[in-house]
Amino acid sequence: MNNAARNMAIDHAIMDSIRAGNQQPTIRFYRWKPSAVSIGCFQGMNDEVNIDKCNAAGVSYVRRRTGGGAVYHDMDGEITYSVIGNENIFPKNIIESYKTICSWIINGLLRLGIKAEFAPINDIVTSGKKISGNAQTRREGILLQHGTILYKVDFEKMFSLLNVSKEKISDKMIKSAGERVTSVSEHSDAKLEELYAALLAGFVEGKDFFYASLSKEEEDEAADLEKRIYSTYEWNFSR
Amino acid sequence: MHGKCKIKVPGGKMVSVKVDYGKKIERVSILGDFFLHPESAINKIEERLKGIDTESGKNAFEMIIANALKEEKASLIGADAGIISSAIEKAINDGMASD
Repeated sequence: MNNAARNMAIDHAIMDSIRAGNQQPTIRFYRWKPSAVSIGCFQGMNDEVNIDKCNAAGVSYVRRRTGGGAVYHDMDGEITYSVIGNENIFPKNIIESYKTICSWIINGLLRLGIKAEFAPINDIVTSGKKISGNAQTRREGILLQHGTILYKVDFEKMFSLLNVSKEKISDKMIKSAGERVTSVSEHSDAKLEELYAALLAGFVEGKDFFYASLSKEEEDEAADLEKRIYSTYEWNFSR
Repeated sequence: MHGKCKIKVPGGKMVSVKVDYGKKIERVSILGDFFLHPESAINKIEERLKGIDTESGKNAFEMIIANALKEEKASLIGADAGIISSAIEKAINDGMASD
């Protein structure tokens, strides 16, 4: 578990490391401590995030390098993953590459008895409700896709942290979100650790793999990127 | 003047535009939960729209955006040049209506 800025910096550092030929294609699972809101790279921080509420709740916020929407990463309510590798090992078509990586999540969820399917552009749904959101970028030959798999959602807290109008934070809105979004805990008794194990198995199936930690160089670069980019006002409030 | 407009793309994403302008566009911010590869192309699009006559209209805005996308070999996913140009035109009209 890392803070929001460090989590984004680690994904960035691994991209750089693979580009330099110092790292293999990487699958990473992580959580957020403290809980955080991440926004897409084209979103306005003040438009999307209730900064005062986040500060009061000890929830941090960060701008991603990827597009897509605002996500509340509850420390105990979701698992985030990233897949990073040379672009040429994934389908050239962006939607197809989402589909490929999302199939690993679907495979993992199936191990818990949850039948899910890819819903273009970048979602995974089960029984028509979103259970996973994903975002991808490609930079100088390296693909990064990261996403969240929802374990348990506290809609009330989520809406208090995101900037939706007061009228929308009504019971009706929360009910409406509940009709569109679901989580693993609504379909399975699996513990968070069991979800992680299922996802891990789903992601690595059919692949040669080994477990590894960040190299010293990656750790150092991540610390530098966290300081220079992802923890700065200039980056996070650039839009 | 300042105008803004938010459009939900059918079956797609949210596009939000903020425009500062006089007779010409002074600054455009294109925001939303769409995807653009490479992401840096957003700067080129916003830059190209600066200085354009505000009365140019949607088709002119769309052509500028499409050309910038082509130059940057960029792909918009979940939105398109037409939607963004509509939002710019509406944002300008919104600004005029509220002034």
